[in-house]
Amino acid sequence: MSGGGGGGSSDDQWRPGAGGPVSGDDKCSIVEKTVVNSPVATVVAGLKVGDVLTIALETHPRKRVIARASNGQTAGAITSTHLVEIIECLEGGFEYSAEVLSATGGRVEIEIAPA
Amino acid sequence: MTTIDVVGGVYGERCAFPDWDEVYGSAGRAAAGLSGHVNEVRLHTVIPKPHQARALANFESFGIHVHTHDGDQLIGFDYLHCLADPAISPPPSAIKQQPAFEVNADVAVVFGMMECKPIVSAGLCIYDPQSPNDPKYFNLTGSKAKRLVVIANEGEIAKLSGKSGYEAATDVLKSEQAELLIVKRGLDGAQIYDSTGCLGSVPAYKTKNVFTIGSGDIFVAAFALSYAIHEKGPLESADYASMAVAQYVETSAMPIQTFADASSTKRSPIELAGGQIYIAGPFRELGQRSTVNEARRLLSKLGMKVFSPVHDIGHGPADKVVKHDLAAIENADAILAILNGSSPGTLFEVGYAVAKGKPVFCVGQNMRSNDMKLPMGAGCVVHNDFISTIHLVAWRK
Repeated sequence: MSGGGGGGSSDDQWRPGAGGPVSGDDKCSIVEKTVVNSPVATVVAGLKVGDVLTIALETHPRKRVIARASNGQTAGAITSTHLVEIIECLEGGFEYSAEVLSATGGRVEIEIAPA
Repeated sequence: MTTIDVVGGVYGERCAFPDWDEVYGSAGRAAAGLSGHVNEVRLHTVIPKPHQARALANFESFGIHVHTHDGDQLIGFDYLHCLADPAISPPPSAIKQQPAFEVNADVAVVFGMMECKPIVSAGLCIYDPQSPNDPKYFNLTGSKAKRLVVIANEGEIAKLSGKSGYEAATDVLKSEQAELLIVKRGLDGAQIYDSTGCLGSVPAYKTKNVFTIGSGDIFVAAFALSYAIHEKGPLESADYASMAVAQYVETSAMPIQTFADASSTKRSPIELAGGQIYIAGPFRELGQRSTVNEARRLLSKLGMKVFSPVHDIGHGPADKVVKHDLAAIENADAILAILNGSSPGTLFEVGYAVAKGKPVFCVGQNMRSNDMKLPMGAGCVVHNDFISTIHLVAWRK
């Protein structure tokens, strides 16, 4: 995912989701950094850099994408500018995992990529 | 059945350091923050049709009911770091105004929008004008509320009233006929006013990370939850809001923390340490020099005196400049070391400072873990985020 510029110049149109598919012809080949939302404190506290989480689709009580630790416990939910594609791909049987890039003070940054 | 209607902008947000690429905006963030705390969160906003599917997927994953109106442009903010001035797309002068929409609510959280002026009718409204350059009085927007709470930062209060300090706050409170006015003051916390004057203040709290984009939105959401839904007092609600902000600033995560989590989380109020700070870091490339300049600016803004070798000594032969560098380290109260990319000179300064018993705070981006062993093992504070490290220096003990 590309970063921002900040300060000064600006474009005419905002272009959300600068990350996303690394290959234009495969909408599921998404690589993206994000943070864990709705964190489950007891699970997140045990995460460390390099841990690999499983990305899964939860449908009840509402549809959301979650990250699970290696013991199967839910660490939290994820948001993404490519959530629509991620959900469609998970529903189609595509698999993603997420590596923990940093875990400091309850902020867990992960990178989602095809498993 | 408890419901909150959140009215305001949903905007793109991108930050390079730390990495952040989301579509929230003030109203989107407040709605996400409130999700799960009440039976229903309704978000009323403008999102252009081509962007609706992407935005809605995220909001629906929080369980938010989105009432969206079509627009011409998705507005976005692009930050280099979270305290930098953002580039706004499209430029504010090119933002097209959208037709007003109406919202009727028992409890409404309303943010000023860049592209629309919705008409709100509420029993109790928590209003944030959300405009550093052109804030609007709620009672001049065509909206009305039986009970009104205004939450704004010091700059917005000054813009609205043309005054400053106590006089500005009481003036805005009176003009709005609000029952409360909360003045957000950044690291200085918040002050709470009613018709009798200043009721008191609450502090801002120290955190392990500092991510400030949208922290004010979280304050508004948490205050609304406490004051409007749980009917807690103004000071108690403001303190809960400040705790919720700390949790968000630290984790970048939503929803906002529960009352139980907030009361069980031990946090210390922010007290700025001041003192003399030595900036250790390479400065021979554009990026390196820009980082030093920015560190110098931000440390000064946070109340510290700054010694920067390139600014305060300049370039010169080793036998002339190094003794001044080392003397400055000895005179410093703390060291900010920018270790990014491994600089032998910077690591030497860190070692010298450690030997002299100085507290050392290191920004360590793009570093090999082996290169970090000595600073970490020697007790230096190491963080991979620039803005977080600057603040850890600012409120060090």
